[in-house]
Amino acid sequence: MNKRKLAVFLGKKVLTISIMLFFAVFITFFLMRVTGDPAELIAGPLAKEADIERIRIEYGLDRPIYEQFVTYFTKVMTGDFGYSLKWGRPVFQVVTERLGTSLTLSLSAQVISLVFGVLLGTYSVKKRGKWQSETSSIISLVLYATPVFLIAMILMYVFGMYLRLFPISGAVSLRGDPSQGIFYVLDVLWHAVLPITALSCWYGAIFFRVTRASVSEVLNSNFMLVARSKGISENTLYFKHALRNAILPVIALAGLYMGSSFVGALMTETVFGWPGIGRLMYDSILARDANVTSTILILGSLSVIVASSIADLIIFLLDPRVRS
Amino acid sequence: MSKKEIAVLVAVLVLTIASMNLISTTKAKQEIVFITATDQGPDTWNPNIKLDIAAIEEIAADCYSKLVKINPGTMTIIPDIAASWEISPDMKTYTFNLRHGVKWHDGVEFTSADVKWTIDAVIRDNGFQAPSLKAAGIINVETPDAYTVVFNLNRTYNTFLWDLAGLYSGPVMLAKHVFEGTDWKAGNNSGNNGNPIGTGAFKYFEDVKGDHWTVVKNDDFYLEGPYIDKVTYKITPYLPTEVPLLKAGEIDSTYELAGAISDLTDLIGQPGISIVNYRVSPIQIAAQMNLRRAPFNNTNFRMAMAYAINRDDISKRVYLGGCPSTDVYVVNGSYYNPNAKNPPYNTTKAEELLDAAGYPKGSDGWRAGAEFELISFRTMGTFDVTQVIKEQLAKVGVQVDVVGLDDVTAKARSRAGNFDMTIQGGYCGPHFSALAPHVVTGGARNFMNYSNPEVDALFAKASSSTNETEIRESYYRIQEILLEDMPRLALVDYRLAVAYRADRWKGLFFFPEMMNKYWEWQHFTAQSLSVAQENGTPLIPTEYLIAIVVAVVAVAVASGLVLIRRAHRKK
Amino acid sequence: MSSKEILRRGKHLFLEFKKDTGAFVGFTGICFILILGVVGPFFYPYSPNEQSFQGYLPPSVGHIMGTDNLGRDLLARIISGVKVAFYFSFLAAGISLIAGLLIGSIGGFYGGWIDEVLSRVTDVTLTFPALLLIIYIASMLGRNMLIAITVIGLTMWPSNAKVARAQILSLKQREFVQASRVLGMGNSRILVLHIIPNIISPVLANSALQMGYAILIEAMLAFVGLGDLNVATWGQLIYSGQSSLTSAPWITFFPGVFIICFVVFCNLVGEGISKLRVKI
Repeated sequence: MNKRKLAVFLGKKVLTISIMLFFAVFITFFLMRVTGDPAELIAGPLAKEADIERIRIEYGLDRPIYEQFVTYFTKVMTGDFGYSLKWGRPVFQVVTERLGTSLTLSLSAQVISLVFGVLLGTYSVKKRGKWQSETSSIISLVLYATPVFLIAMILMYVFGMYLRLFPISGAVSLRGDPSQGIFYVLDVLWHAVLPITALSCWYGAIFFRVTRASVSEVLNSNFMLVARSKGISENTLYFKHALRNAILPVIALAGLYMGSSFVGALMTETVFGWPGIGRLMYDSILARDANVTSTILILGSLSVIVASSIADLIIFLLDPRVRS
Repeated sequence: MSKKEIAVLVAVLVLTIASMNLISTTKAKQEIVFITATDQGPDTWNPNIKLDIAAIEEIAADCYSKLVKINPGTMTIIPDIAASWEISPDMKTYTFNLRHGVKWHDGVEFTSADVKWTIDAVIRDNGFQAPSLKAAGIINVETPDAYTVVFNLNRTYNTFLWDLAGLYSGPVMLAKHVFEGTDWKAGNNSGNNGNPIGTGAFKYFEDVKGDHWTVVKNDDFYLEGPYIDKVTYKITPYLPTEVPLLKAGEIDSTYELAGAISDLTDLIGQPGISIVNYRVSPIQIAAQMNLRRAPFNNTNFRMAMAYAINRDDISKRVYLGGCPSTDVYVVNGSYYNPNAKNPPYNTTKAEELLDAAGYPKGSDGWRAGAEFELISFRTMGTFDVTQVIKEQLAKVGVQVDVVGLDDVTAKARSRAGNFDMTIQGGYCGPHFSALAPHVVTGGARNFMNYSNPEVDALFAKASSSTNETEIRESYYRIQEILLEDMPRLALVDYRLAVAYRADRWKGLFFFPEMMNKYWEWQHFTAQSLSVAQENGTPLIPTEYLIAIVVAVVAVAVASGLVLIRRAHRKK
Repeated sequence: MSSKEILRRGKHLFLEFKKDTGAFVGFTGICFILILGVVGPFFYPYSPNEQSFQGYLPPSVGHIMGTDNLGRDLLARIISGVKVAFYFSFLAAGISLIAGLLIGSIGGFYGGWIDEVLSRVTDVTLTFPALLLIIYIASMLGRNMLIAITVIGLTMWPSNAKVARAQILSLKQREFVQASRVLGMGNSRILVLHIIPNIISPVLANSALQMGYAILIEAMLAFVGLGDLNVATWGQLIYSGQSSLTSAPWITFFPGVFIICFVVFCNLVGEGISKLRVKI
């Protein structure tokens, strides 16, 4: 591997990330001002005139715009996202408290959907023309077309209410002792099964279809003909050679989707009462807590930037063509 | 995949699920825990500080006491921490005899000093209930002995007891020995290991922000009970999930303030589930007409509306009959005038009045000039009400344009008078005087710009009178005048509905004289001890988090590897 | 291109399209829904706002899809929702199409620093999770369908831009472009007359997919409670039926089925377009 090329790549990446982060903060800043008086937004619907004025001064909203932006930007960089109206605590604290809980859900769902989507997609190409391929194609299409919350509600009713297999709300059981150790982990996992399944359905369908398209395309390329002529087994052909070359667009997509998994998580967490950032967004929207919602927006962008950068890095490392 | 491998995988899956399930049930202690849904958590646990819905509506009732409270079944004042009271004939002096032997949650005795301290502090430091206390005109609070409190008012104020008992107007009693000398509004409570202290049936147990909070029973409660060990309030902001949760047994009751019975349609008639239709304080859903604008500045037109709108139909369609149609004031509310009934549904009469108002029917069936815009929120079913009204008025030739707005915009437009007609739900009780803000000149909820000096005078006379007959006549007369003027058409008496697991919980009623076995809700004040903030525990500690993510990823990778291995073996 | 040529190509296209079962199903499906929405109101006896019936009636002979909570016929409401669905998705996808096509083409064609800047803009737009942004804006600006459509369109265009740009980069080297240049045509004329008609095919395919995606987002918005109350979309119908999911499942079932079908058909059509060997 060419160390110098890697360094160049990383350098460019860091620059890009910084620029994009800057824009993310800028656009959020812009949105907060274009949708109304920011002091009023932050103070919330129940505030009195005096409160609004106080907030205006506290946040420096009576200063000229460029000065406001500088203040805002520096504050964001240092992690000071202001004070949450609804929770009465610094926003940063409120959000980071829930970060782990949220990641448990979305990261797991992303990994599961990626693994299953990719493997099943490749498998369906291998069996193209046969019933496995056609059925899985139809199923994936229907799953993609169903809004996440609908899937969540169906799962909730079927598995939670009728079959009583899994709990349908919260992350921990409320009756009995707060469990310790391994039981705690299992309890949380038990609560997480349905939300993770709901989230994985949609993303899994997407990864499935993209992998399928990508692998089909690769099949016709030259090097595949060479590999076939060498007499390699069908499975190795598909799962090792074809996949390795077809995976690139999937990884790029995965980067984007991993970052934006907050969105699907919002629906799922709300329906299943999972106390993560998605639900925090929902609660804050209902409570009109402007500080928290704008922070989560920045966080969302940040995660997309980070995830897609990681994806780009992986592509860079894997693909000889990109490097040259 | 070979059949053996499939069987093994399935067996592992089933075993894992079964073990999770088993663990969860075996570790349930022999503890009686009642779980109810709620829609938000408390900011602080002191209901006297600010508008904090959870603290005012749930915690105040569970963990604290007021001097007196209201029995919503009979709409009367009953004792809480004051066992009895005397009112002077001029209604300027109120003497309360407090119960003996009441203890704070930290074991200290409750005395009249606590009452005096609380009232003085709320007024002096502008607590949440300060406006109503100040309006009462309290000169001073005397404590002749440890169990007697005397309030001296500067005027005859005959609704003082209602104010003291009211949801948003009556303060809960705070402990002087905890708060004296501190900035109580900042909410640092140093009693009970830093946890909130009250005299209520339940004590603070834990508060996991955003997820749930729990109160545990107070063994020294001064009234009977409680018979439950713990009550957990599970925060479920998304209402439709309460239905499967209740059926699955994960909660025992739905959120009592969530909505009317029409929001619980899935639970009606379900085995093991009981629905209680109740009201804490009369709420009327009313159509407010903007008297500044045509066609509502025409009395005939307004009366026509009253005849053309079928309130029973609204009650049936939107609220499944759970919220009965109402008259000028709520039927069987305090001082309800049985002769001031809203006009019956009569389209013929309505059309006559519309013609008389100068809006004849055109050749296309519509009355030119009679069109208007009807705005509403989306809560309490008001949006659905507007849909029904639109169709009803179309039958008499009045074209209505319905606009559903979000809360903030709707409130702003109502206050600014920027509407034709608006459907709103508002408190008009528990005492008749609560109707005043809706109809007196410049009243806080009088968006109609209605002004009738006779009505104003009658309200003033009644609130400073000591003669019961005079009071009743005044209030009756007000209702008659409102009927003639018709600035506001009250549609239905909004009743809340709660569903609970009757197959698991016995004797669950929501009125205090039936039983005091768990909790009551009449006292809603909002001030909370913010200590709970600092005690908020993080939901999932980091170590567990890592374990969970690792576990899940491992499962995914393992299954992936299995699939790959099988692919290789087929070679 | 003369009109006769257009017709001939159109017929050829359609025949190609028919061969692919998936695309054919999708196309007929969309046509069916469209016809239902346009023609339905004339033939169907019930109006979407009529409340003369009892609420919560299950599907029966009188009401094929039952009634909703206020006693309005559900099929009538779904039919009125068809128009809104097409309006919504068309507009959103349209905004995305125009913006993406323009930006991608200009960047790809002119190259150089214009391309760099536009690519950066595209990337920055991509970093904003669409639904999050829409929810954020909707919660600030109020629930307005036009705002939602605009925001959705403005978050979807990057994929169109990327497709357009990639196509242009490969086209730039082709002979007929160089031939036109020799003939002395200006850059912008080349762009409009020759390039864009040739790259429209994949972008159009993408737009079909985006139509479906727009409807999904609309449903999710309605679910969160941020949909425009005054427009009866399928998402709103699902939202209103949530509290009666088990006692009156038809209120959520039928709109849900329509949403799923709409998105599936859009996807099938989109994939069909991209598989065509004859370009549009």
